[in-house]
Amino acid sequence: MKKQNTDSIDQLLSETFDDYTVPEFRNSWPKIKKQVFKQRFMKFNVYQFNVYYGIVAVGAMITAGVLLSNPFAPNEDVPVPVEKTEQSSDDSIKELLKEDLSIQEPSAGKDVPERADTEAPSGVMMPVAEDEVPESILPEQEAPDNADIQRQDAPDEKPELPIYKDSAGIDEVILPPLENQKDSLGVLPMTPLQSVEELPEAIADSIVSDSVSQKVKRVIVIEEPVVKRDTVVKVIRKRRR
Amino acid sequence: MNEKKLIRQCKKGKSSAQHEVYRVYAPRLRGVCRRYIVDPDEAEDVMQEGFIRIFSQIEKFTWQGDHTFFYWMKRVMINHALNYLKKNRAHFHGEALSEEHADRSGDDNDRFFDDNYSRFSKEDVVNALTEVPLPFKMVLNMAVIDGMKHKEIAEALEIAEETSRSRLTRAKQLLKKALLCRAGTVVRNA
Repeated sequence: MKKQNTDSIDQLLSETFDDYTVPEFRNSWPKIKKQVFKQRFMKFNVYQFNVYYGIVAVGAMITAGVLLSNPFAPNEDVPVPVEKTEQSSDDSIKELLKEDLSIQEPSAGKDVPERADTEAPSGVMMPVAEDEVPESILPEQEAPDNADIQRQDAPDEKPELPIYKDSAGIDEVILPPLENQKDSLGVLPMTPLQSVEELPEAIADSIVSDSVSQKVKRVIVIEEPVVKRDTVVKVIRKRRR
Repeated sequence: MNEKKLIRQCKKGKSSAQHEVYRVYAPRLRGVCRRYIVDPDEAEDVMQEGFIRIFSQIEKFTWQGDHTFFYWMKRVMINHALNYLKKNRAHFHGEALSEEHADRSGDDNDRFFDDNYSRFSKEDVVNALTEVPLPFKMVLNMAVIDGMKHKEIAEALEIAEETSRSRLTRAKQLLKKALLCRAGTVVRNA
């Protein structure tokens, strides 16, 4: 009897709930769809776009934007010291100073020649006297430190010493102050007490012959020109007869 | 569409395939939820979250023949409903109900029920089941309708197997009484 009772209630329940369906009374699919999409988006899947791919894509776009805008590119308005220093090589200064000195005759009666044309062709350095430099240039455009420029861009080999000729045909060796050239004169005897006999014969002869033949009429001391952009803004000369 | 192909597309995350699965199986799975949770709104919420879990775990499912997909979904839905009940029902583990709902009518009701059970409609059974207290109803659902063993029920409900068996017996008596009450033919002990 008990068994029959159990079977009857089980049978009744099975018949009722085997295909028991409840019709939809509110549309749940949009919410399910939204939540499933959100879950899949937050989960990494190689074959499907997800939040990780999104992060990579955004990162790539930001990187591309930064690279295209190029904020770290050098400003073309600011002169690069390397290029300017190359333009102010010894050869160009030598040529210009030679030309300048050949124009200035000692008979002109002026220590500093007048020079109306201070404009130089592009890339050419022109010597300008200190008093000729416009006031609008000097205070505003302060020249960079010479030591810095030389420290950054100085070539390894020692620069050649400039030799100029005066228009009168007398050789004039125009050198920077002697104390600045100790390195270049290292092979020569520097002490005045050292006699010529102590030197090798060939060197001694050449020194003696050169010292006899050269007649120094005047000495011009030129300090290092101060270079700013394309213009030599300061040259100090000293002449002595 | 072929069920196997439908599952394959669901695994790829195709929304149209997921919608098709929802359209085909939602009414039956809604019925499963309603057996455990009486309130229609709560049952609908549970079914909604159950479908989300189904679609997120569908990669773990392996197709092994007809109906396996539905039974797998049904099991996911039952587990989710039980978790929901554990969180939201204070009397989920109500042991005090056992004495209170003990039916003393005994064999008279049983005899009458056995003679007349075919008279009850499906609607009568569904409504009578809602009157059975939750701890008994859950065991009845799991054991009789969903075909789970007492060991599984005990693990799912965190009770002893013996408790599961006794609850099943009492659940049947309570359901029978509810059906007879509805029919107005309850035989009471004097």
